[in-house]
Amino acid sequence: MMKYFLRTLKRLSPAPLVHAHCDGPCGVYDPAQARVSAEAVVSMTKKITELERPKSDAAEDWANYHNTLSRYISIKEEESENTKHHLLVLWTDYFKPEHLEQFPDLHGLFWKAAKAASACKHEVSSHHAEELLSFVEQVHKIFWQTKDREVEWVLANKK
Amino acid sequence: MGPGEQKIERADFGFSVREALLWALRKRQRFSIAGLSMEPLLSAGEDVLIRPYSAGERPHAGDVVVLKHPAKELHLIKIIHRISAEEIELRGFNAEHSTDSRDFGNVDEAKLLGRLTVILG
Repeated sequence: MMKYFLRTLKRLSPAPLVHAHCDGPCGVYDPAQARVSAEAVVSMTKKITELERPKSDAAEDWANYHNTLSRYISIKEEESENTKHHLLVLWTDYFKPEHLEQFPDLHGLFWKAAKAASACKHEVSSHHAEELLSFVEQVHKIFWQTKDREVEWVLANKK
Repeated sequence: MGPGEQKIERADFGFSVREALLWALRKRQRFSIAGLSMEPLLSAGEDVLIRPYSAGERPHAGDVVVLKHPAKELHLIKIIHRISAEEIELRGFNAEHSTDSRDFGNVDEAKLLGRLTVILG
């Protein structure tokens, strides 16, 4: 009876909204997004450095070489930016001041990770790519500690 | 005292004849919940009744309150985490997924419209 009354009331006269507000309305965060992008940066950096130059002078071979190289560079660029983006979302939207009390180096870690992501765009550097991935791993560890959960750090790409 | 130290349950906000009467006499205001920050106490789509604070009455930590957003044209529902003579610190019940005083700062008492009395469902 009460349910029927309430349902009818809601339909005929909806109440004004009051927001149990959250800026990230889905509330779903996971450093795995940053990890996948950072892994792609490592992979593309490796592919760029290992790409063999054509042995012949044939124009088509060289065109293919440049095409492949450009694609690798473009993906490295894009995934570096994606890593940075996913990290910044965690930094600004997920982490709260109480997390900073628990992990005082949090700001420094994100700053270094964002710098490494930029370096991966500017350069072809396995060192910076691996460094970026290791920063993401540190974020992963802190993130899951804040949720009191043990989540293993697993890479999609076997080394 | 804040929501972390004080247990707040749905059972604290049951419907009663008294509340129904006060609602009919327009002493209660009905609102509909949107958003996730008060889960699992309050879910999106549920209606609630709010009682305005009486003159001279002071809010307490642990009160579930409706307030005007300090910067936007909307009403929020949050819990009073801490209260002092000058300002009120608010949290969502689901603090992990809440935009509250940690983001927009503390608010003053004049922003409060009233406190939750009934979860209609």
